[in-house]
Amino acid sequence: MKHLKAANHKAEMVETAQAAQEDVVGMAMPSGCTTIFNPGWEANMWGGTNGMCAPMEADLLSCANVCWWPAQVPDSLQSSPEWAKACSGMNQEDWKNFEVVFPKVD
Amino acid sequence: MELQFRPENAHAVAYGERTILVAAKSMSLFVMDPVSDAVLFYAKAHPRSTLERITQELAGRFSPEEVAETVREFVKLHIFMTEQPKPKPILPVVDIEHFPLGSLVLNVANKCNLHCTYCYEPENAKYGPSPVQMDWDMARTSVDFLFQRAGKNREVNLIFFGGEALLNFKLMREVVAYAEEKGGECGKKVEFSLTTNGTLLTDEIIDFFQEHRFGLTVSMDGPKDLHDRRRSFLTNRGERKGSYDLLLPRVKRLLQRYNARPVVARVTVTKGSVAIARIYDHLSGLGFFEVGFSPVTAKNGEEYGLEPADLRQVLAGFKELGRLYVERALRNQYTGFSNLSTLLTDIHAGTNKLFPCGAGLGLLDVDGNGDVYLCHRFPGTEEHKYGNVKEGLQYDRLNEFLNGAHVDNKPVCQTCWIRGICGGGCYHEAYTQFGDGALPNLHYCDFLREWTEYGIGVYMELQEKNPGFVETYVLRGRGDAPKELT
Repeated sequence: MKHLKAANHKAEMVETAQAAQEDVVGMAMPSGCTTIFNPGWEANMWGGTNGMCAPMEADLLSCANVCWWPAQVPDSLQSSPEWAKACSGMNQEDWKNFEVVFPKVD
Repeated sequence: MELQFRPENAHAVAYGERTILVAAKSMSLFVMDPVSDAVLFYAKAHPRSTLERITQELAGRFSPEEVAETVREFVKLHIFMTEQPKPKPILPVVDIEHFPLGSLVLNVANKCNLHCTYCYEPENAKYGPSPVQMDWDMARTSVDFLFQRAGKNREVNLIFFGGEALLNFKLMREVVAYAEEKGGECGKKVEFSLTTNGTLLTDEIIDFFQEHRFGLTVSMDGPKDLHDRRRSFLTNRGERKGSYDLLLPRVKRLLQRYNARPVVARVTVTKGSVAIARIYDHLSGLGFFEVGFSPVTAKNGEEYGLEPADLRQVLAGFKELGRLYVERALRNQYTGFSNLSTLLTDIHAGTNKLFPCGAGLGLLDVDGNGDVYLCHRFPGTEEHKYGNVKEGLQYDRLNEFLNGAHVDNKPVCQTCWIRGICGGGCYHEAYTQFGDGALPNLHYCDFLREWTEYGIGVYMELQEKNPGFVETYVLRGRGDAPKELT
């Protein structure tokens, strides 16, 4: 804490416990991934995986929230920007037209 | 953001130029800075407020960020509530059937060779219905009872008590042998302790204590004039005769011959015997490692009872001795003033008790009939008898009492900032004063709050001027300190 300086053992414990709690709170998202600009799933805009949902280690954190299984969604910015082209909107039938996207193998 | 100030969770103690915040919900202590000081000051005058209003009010002095940070910190410590707290379930909070027993007090003798005027046992010569001496069969059953109920405790304690327990030394020997054998079989360590008036000590007895590492407490009230005032024999002719002269050589012998553990003196503080520093000097001079002071339990009108003015004197005496404690601590010397050491332990650990003591939870008392009582102060009190070692414990009744005595069920305590340290106070004291053991001891509240504030000052001073002293000299080896701190 900034304005209160721990002065006994219990106060140190309280501070430690609260610091640990804040780490988790930092991952909270307002209401799922869709409200946050996300530059693609499997790779970020620089082609790496830093901070992305898709690397499995990021999944574990993302999945704790309302956003889950991001790995099923194609990378819409880098690799398969057209994957949802067949969909005109988001009505109930449209989703069937989503393309199945496989990784390109050279 | 709506903010509701909870005064019972925030107590400010002045320490020199600074203010110490006691966050009473967790018993954590913090040194406040000018922002938190100002926010607390404002909150006290405006218990219902909002962040915006506080920010506005303090705008000239502190930035909105500083105020917001402080308010967030207060929210974390439950000093501000942002919403109505959910109602707490009142019952039940503890189920004694699943609580392991750690200590058992054995009233091996139901008689005393002294007739102290303030004794809390109902009659001076013999106490209640149980036989004068506990017999071997009952003692063995009691030891079995302790081991059966000890659960996963790796260590159990047998405490010998009376009357005067040494009137039945023969039984003590048998009990110790049996308990050690039994402990060996179950892989549990057994510790023994005894409170005695000391008048029956002999070399043989002392050597026995040495061999089994007894924890020893001797009841002694100070120098001759104070001790003899109320700790006396009753002669055949009905005359009172002080016990000091008989006791003194025996105590000296004990302190010289016994060195397995530190020996403690227990002083009952009564009207006219409140010279705390003088009593301490005398007893520590004799060689006692620690001296603990207990204000007497007295019904209204008893001549030895402490009135509010006497309690003021006791507190003044405690503070006087506390000064010496601090002075010596700064030179890395320990002063065996139990009351202050216990308080410093609680303050350092941030003790947050739900019950005032372990009576009925980890500790029970057995008298000569095998009847089980809440603690050693209750034998003969039908209301606080909870079964028998042969017939078993009355869990329902004990649960009902303990749940009622839980600090959350003491509304007055819920407004008090030392509730975590005090828990409402001694059941027996409350039973004597108000006829109900589950009630808080309101006649001691001011005394305890002032004493705790004093202790916080001492703690801060020691932490600042001789850091490490509390950890090294006070906590280490104290049975009442949390294990992880010793």
